[in-house]
Amino acid sequence: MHQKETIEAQLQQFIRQQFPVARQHHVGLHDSLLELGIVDSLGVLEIVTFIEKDLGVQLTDDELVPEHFTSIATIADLVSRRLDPEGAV
Amino acid sequence: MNSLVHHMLRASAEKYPQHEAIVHGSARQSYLELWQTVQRIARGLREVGVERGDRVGVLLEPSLPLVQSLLGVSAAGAAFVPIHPGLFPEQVEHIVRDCGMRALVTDGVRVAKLNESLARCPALESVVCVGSMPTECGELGLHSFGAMATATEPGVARDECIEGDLAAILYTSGSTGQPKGVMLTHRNVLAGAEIVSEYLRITHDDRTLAVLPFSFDAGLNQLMTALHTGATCVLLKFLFAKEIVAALAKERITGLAGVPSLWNLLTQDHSKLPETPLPHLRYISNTGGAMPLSTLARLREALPTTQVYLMYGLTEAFRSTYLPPEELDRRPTSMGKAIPNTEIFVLREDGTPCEPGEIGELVHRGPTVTLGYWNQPELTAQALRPNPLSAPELGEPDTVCYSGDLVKTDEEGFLYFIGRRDNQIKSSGFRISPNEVEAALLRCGAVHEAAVIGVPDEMLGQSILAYLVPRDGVTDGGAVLEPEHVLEAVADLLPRHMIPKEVVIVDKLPHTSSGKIDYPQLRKRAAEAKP
Repeated sequence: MHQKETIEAQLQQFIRQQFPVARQHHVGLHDSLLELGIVDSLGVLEIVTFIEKDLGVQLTDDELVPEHFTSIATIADLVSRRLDPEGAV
Repeated sequence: MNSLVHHMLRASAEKYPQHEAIVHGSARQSYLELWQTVQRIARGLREVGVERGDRVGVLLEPSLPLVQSLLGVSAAGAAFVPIHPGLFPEQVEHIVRDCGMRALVTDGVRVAKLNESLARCPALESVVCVGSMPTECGELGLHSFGAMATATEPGVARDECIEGDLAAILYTSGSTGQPKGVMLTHRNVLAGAEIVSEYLRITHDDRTLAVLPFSFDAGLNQLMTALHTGATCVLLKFLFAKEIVAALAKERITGLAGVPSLWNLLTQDHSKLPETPLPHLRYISNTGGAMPLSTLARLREALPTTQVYLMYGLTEAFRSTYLPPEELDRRPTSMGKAIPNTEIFVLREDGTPCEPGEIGELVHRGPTVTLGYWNQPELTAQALRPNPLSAPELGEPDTVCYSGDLVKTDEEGFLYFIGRRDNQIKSSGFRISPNEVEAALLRCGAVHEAAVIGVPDEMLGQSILAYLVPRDGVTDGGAVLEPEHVLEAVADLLPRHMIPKEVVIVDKLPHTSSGKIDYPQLRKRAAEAKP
């Protein structure tokens, strides 16, 4: 659990820093990034690059689906499952 | 004879009634079905008060109703105004007000978001709603698109217009002020479709994938080219590049038009482009900025049998030049030569033609030169001017389009882009006016002066760099102007493609002797700051 919270915080910081509109709307863990128009295709690529380069998790093609990128919480779920496949999330 | 936009559809429906016209996911319509729906929409629009020459906005995500609406407006005798679905309410309101829009076709979710903005648009009378209807819409008449599209009475197309009449308005940014509406005649749209389908050799066997918005001239042209030739146009909204690659394979796409940021996305690791066989993909075409050479190399490696067309166009003249694929190896940085039935001049300031190698302004002459900007005669007169090379014996010279783009030719007449005459920025295929971004920045707290420039960006072509001068006392008083806070505030005023990537706080900005911001000096400063 602890790890997932850390990842959520890192993602939140990155997304708020990278997407000013997310900061403006005080986007929370469960707000929809896609429906609010905060993240488009180039934005998703920035998030994927952050996950792979800064968090050190290589995503598989099957993981690159819109459902995993709807909110900060869903992205954190995805990343923490990969970092700790045994742990209960 | 095809003289109006919807005539292209009518002709293809006669020739290929059962052939697939448009596809979106599992939704498909044949040419005959599309033509029948379009005529019903036309009747419905007339019944809710749309008249010849009215402007009707279309604000929809890629979908069958998007295409049906654009064509339906034409068949109703009105002019369609495609609005980019990513725009904020403030930008939508500007467009609706600026062109005195009579009716707007959109979806229920957007009606709810736009309620307040639309209430401030005096000419707007009706909203035609795709999908679920909102409960209320202020004073506006609210109508169901679905009811129009499925009405039992036969539809009817109105043909009072002639080819020189207004068919569409495309909003685009210049170097100053708010976006301006470029007025396209039916002739412009038809000529664009005829010319491009000629040099891309498009036939009814082609299947093109439309990922560019129809509010963008090249995107609209791609749709019109398909309708003109009876080809199939597949619409796609995507989030991941691999969705484009999957659609290319699944729909056996033969042609794809894109902008540099799209090609950059497609050549990223996760796109699966290199490992996906795409034997059907006959050509790809780039517009909206130069394709980076490294991206071009990767695309050609992944798509060895696909032809690459580098194209150039400006909204004011729709499409202007292209480089034939067989020239790509010899001159990969060239914009090519004039499209068919079009002449491109490179002119000096005094209006005389440049020698090869000499830098001048690109001037376009041909049937795609538009009517200029809606309700902006002065700006129109700057862009559209009498042909300086016309023989005096011919009397009144024809009108040509001054692009504001500086170019040169090589000895064989191939054109090369040098830069803009003005300060316009081009990012991710969008034209961005520095003024518009600056005006928004000035509304963000203690900003005294703002200047934005475009700086080279591998992904976007150009990204936006903003220089801000704080108001007096802000730096040495208690309050501090924080770039972060400014970006946060401006994010609510501008769509994402217009938000600066970087903000630099400075004590003062360089000015010219006439007191204007010295943009060349700022660009020089930015270039020197880069390692």
